[in-house]
Amino acid sequence: QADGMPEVGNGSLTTHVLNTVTGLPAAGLAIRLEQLQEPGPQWKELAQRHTDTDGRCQPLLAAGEAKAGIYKLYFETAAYWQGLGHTSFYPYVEVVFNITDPGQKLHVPLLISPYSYSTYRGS
Amino acid sequence: MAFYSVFLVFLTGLALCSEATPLDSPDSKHPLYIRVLDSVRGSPAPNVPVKLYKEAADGSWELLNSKQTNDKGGLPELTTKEQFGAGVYKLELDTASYWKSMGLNPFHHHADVVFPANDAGYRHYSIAVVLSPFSYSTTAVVSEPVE
Repeated sequence: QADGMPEVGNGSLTTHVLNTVTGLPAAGLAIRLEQLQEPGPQWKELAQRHTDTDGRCQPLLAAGEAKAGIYKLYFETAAYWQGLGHTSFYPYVEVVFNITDPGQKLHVPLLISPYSYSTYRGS
Repeated sequence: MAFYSVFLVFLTGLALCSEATPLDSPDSKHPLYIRVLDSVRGSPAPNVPVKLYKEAADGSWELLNSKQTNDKGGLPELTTKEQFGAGVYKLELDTASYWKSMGLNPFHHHADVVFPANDAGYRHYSIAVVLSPFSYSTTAVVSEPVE
């Protein structure tokens, strides 16, 4: 691992959180990754992160770590908005998605405003 | 962002339609209104299964109702004023089934929206969800406490 910012591109699951009120990254937002213990309903926590000033964090799954399955990204959005002195509607945001190809690089960003959010699978 | 343009158009439409067609928006009898839109076809998303849960004291989710969106992608009667007391709710939309019925393999297992309701008196809630196979967006419109 080199000094300084590691290559985000090496990870197989990354995210990015953007505050669409300010048009700036959402820094200091807590995120965790869970995997469904099939057939469910239990989830197992795999990783915890906080976004940096760029709204990004270390990969949640490193290259080679992903297995096919159902995963959940859990974003502590209410705490984030509270820290900025905003009220917001959602206590948190959960994004539940499939990993079908463990070799694929997945980027799952989240765009947030107090009464709305948007998420997509990017690259 | 394109999603926000869609929302603005949708919300304007909601406001305009609310007088003429009461079942297109929440009202006192049915204070929670869901609308699901398909951004691939530019249409409502009909027949999307939606479950409504309420958080119980022990943190588990209690299923209150399970219904499908209508032809207009709307779900007006998911709960009633009597059932919709103060608390934390979860909407779980089976978006994967919607896309799979069209022969598409979507990214998300489902779309859920967790929100608190009626903490300061009875309000009306409109929840819009815009779908595509690799993306979804949701917006809430919450009224001031009514009556």
